[in-house]
Amino acid sequence: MNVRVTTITPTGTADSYLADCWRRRELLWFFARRDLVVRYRQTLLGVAWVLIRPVLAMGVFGFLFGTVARLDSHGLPYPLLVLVGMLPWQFFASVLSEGAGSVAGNPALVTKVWFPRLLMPASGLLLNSADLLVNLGFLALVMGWYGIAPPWQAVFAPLSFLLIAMCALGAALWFSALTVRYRDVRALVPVLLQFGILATPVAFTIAALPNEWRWWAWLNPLAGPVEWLRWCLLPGTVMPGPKAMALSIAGATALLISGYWFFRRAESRFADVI
Amino acid sequence: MADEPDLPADLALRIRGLGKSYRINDAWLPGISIKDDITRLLTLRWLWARSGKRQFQALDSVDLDVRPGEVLGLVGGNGAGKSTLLKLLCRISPPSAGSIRYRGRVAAVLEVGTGFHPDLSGRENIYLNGAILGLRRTEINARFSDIVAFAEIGEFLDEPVKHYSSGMYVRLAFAIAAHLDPDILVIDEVLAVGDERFRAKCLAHVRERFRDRAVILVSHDVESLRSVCTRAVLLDHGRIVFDGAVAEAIARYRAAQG
Repeated sequence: MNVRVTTITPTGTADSYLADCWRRRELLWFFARRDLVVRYRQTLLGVAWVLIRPVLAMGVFGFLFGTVARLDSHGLPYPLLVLVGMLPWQFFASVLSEGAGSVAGNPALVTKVWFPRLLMPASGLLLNSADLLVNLGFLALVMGWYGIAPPWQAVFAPLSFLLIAMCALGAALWFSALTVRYRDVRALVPVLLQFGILATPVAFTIAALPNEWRWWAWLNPLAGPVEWLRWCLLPGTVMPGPKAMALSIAGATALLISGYWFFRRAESRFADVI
Repeated sequence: MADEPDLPADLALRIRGLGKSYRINDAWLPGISIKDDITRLLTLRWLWARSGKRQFQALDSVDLDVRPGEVLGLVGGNGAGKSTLLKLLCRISPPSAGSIRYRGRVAAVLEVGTGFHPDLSGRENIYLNGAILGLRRTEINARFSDIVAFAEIGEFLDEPVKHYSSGMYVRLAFAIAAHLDPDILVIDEVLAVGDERFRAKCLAHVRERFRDRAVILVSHDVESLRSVCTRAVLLDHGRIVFDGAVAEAIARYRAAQG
């Protein structure tokens, strides 16, 4: 029999929050499964939806930036540069936009049952990792079609996924907690993402920017993971410098820690405010 | 309030000096938008609001001990604090004062079918809802056939629950809740579900299954309280005004209602 004694006081319980999250970790999987089934049941295109955004981006950005603006493509087919940029970007954008409404969109869960609410925005990481794998498979097909093999540094690609996941979770924590209180914050997310895709080196490489603008681009914590993945997977692209990567790692860490701090501060009042 | 360091071994739950207050009509009440809150900040209305803020005391200095084997009924009119007490018990909302101490696991059924998704099948919802209510996957596996049998949904198990009749929906939801096997079960009004026969089955289940555990339930259905509870507490304006025999609590409650 379970004989653990729990004490609830105005400041919470003595249990560590992360230990609570770990104990209830299976919920991540069940939420992700629910969202997966709900996303594809009764749909016309089904799983093909995953590929629509990267394919459209490849076409549109490839034409605008590659064919019309003739930006530097490092000797590669321009659509390929865009496709690699889209993988981390789409992961970030989906985790953020699904996560932002994950708490406010489920008032019944928040007011009728307790579990660590962190699991709600975090479950998006799982489902969108599956999408990312599908997209990586598609990328392999496209690279094979162009006859381009990934260089040896492909083994370092996971660093990019780690950084993008930290940014995505950090941003999702900020926005999901804010959305519980301010419903209009949710409407801000698509606006941010619309401009964010242009402020992040998704459809261009930082090497194609004029020298004096490059540091501005690196200030965006998403720039590091995107450019890192490109260097890892596409031969001939420029390796991000150590200072640029240090900036990205610091930015991603700050975003995750501050998001966690803010979410935890807001969480105890979710049920009273929602 | 000096709290005892430990929970006496013969108790399942001890509540001391528990209070919950909500601020009402004050300028810090969540605004409609950020712009609203910024305007309030700039116009210094919050200074005035701080000094004159009104508090609504939903619960006030509640002391309560519950032993394993007790089925405790909470009685009281609307706004007496019954639901607030349950919410504090299962950590949905933090108390403003005092402490709650319990041994083992609390499972709360404040609503039938919390987290059910209409597009998921009965089978999928058993796992989702079970996990939301605090079960592990292995625990759900072990109880799965009992839950399905209790719910009497038969061949509809793999149908989306949006195609269920409301009776089937409620039976499935209650079947999951009935198989949580917590040390303390907290139930709000949900016994008023299903038809007469199913309700009797649920009450019998609670009586039998929780012989050595604690149950705390809220219901406006006096008859089910009388048949299942071993003790009752009457709440009025957030305070306990009576604690003892079920029949007397009900009598006092009816007298107060006029």
